[in-house]
Amino acid sequence: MAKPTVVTNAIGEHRAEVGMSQGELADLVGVTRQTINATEAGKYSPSLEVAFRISRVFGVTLEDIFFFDE
Amino acid sequence: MSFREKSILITIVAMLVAAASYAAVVIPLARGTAVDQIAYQPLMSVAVVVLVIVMVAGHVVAAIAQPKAANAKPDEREKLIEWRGQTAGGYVLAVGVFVVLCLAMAEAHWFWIANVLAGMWVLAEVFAGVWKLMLFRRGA
Repeated sequence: MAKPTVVTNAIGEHRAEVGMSQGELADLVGVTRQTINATEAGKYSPSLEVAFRISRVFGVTLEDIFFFDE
Repeated sequence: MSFREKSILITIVAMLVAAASYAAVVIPLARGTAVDQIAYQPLMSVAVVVLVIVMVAGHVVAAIAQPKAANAKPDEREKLIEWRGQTAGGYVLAVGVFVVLCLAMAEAHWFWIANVLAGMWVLAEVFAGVWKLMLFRRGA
């Protein structure tokens, strides 16, 4: 079982709201679909740059989509 | 499975096929012949050619199946996994260098030095590849 990342996110929920696929989001952000999938699944914490790009795609702030659970 | 994962899998298979082909010929020879009588150099060269052919053929087939992914630059997660995998493989290679150094200091025959070096290189590459696949699957 993979160790979950400390940073969690609501990318899946935001995608579902606008009806966007992982592949479409990946193309907009400039990463692979697998990276979006791994991020959503809590298997990968993206860089700050990618996190900002994801939040801007949905027009929300970073903290609306990424959560730091200590 | 992403193109990067397929590429790693192809490298692992190519390494194992080349190493197994070489070992299948050299090990029986080493059992019945003095090592200084074994012309391992042409056999090792053929194994390297087999390695290159399997890798190129495998990557061509994988690229035909996923042309867009094959041409895309690796993203940050793929670069991180590549770096971590190569670092893990580097530890195995360092052990191999130490073993070969010991063989050289013990004045072992060139046959053993060359073959242990090649073997540890294959082991390091396979270990790095398996580590990368594990990171792709379990998380980086």
